[in-house]
Amino acid sequence: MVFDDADISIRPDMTANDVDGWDSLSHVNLIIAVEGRFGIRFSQKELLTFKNVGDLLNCIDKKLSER
Amino acid sequence: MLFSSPIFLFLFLPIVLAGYWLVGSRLRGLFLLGSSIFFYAWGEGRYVVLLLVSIAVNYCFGLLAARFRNSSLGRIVIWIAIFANLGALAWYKYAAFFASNINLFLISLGAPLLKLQNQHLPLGISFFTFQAIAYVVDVYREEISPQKGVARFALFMALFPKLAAGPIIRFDEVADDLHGRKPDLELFVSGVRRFVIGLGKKVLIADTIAKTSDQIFAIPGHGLTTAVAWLGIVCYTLQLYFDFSGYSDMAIGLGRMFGFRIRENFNYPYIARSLTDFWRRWHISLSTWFRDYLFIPLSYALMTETIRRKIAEGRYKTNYRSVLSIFVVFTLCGLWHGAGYGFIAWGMMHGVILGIESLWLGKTMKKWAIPLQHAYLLMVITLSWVLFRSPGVKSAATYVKTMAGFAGSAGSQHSLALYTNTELLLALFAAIIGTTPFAASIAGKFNNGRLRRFAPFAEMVFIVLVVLASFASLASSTFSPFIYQQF
Repeated sequence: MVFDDADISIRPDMTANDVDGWDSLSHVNLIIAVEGRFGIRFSQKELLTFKNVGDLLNCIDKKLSER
Repeated sequence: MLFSSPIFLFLFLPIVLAGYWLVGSRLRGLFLLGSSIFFYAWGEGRYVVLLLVSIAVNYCFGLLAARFRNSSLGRIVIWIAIFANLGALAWYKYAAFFASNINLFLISLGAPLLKLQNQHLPLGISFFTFQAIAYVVDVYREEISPQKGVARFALFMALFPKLAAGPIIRFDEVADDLHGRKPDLELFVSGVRRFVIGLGKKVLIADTIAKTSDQIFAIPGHGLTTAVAWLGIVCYTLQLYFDFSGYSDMAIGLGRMFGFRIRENFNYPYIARSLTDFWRRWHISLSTWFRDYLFIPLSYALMTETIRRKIAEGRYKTNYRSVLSIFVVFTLCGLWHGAGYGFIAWGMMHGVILGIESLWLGKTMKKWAIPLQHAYLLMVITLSWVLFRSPGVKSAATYVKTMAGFAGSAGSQHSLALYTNTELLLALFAAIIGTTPFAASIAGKFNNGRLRRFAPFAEMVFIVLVVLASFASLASSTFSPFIYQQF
């Protein structure tokens, strides 16, 4: 758990500003956790193009469907 | 040419503005580019060559980064671009500092010493090199397409409103504005308004308060008293914010007058409730640069397979490597401000406190009463500015000791009354109000309240008063450069 909040609910249009405690540091933790959970790897290029939760989800979907 | 100098306000700006909007739309970009190069050459003379070389070289790096995006050569291009830009910065800004440190080592060996004079620091080099690095990396990351037009790229680099001290603009921020600049009266007027507010912040508030803080920081350590030391650092804290945010307002305002929408650089930093929060509000264009081009790549590079697995399994609660990255990033952020141990120590202090906040303090603080959170931030930031302002770490330590009540022996000769006068108190009062969103909220109420039909009139009166007061103050003042132009 990255944000220490079990009741957290997210929507695709949410950004880091909408989630308490989502700062640059926990962002790295989140990305690494996502990578581990889904067994995927984001490139440095992809890493910074995520503007909101939706971008991250799309990228995960894309990676999973490519396998 | 300072934004707050008469030659800029009464000659350069009116001529360039008139010329810019009078020439045909196809020539506008070239006209503004020429004016920007002239602006740089006016103050910097032959160093304009450095700016032109930087433009030419980074233009090529952009094209190469796009060409070799998907081959192994791409990474090489990126590294060369980063080294070239940082190399130029290192030579002009840090060579003498590094040499003096190497000499300390050479002395102990009895070896011959390096002879390096302090270089002239070319205006804005800290800002335009960072802008160029971001551009080339963004092209490589496929976030933007490279700018093929040389003149447009040159304008992106040299645009005079942000040339001297930022904001560090990103290419995507102004990409559209670089193409079509149609006259937009509303944008223009908002630019003028913004520029005037920035001018007032600089001339009426920052420069007035600076007189006192400069005097107090010039007192040798043993002559300070506790009360005077506190007055000095409170003054400097407010001076720095009004100097730099005033400059940024002027840059953003000038940008709008020429049809460029530059992003905000400040968001009421002193009302933050933690240092983490502060860095989202202070010099935003620099903090986001460090986040995107140093912190994220660095902490990602530090992840090993074992740690990745632990994080995925939830067994690695605290990401110490990212905390380490924070420390490294802020140490370098300190160094960016200048070649000196004071700035490095300032950056380290920020790195350590940000690390502590992310480890546990941040969560604990959320349970504190809100005024206590504000008090904590103001305390941390004020103490850190002592390092930022003092000539060295040692004098900063003496200064903090005096603030804590351990004053030197000869303290009594400088009483508080010597440094306070009505002018200062007025400026401090305005400054404290100005660090909060209070004025904006009053204006908002006015605009929506019963008296709203008077709002435009009241605003105009306010702007005119600020202009008149600033001009009157400029007429009698001496040269006072912006603090961040020296970084």
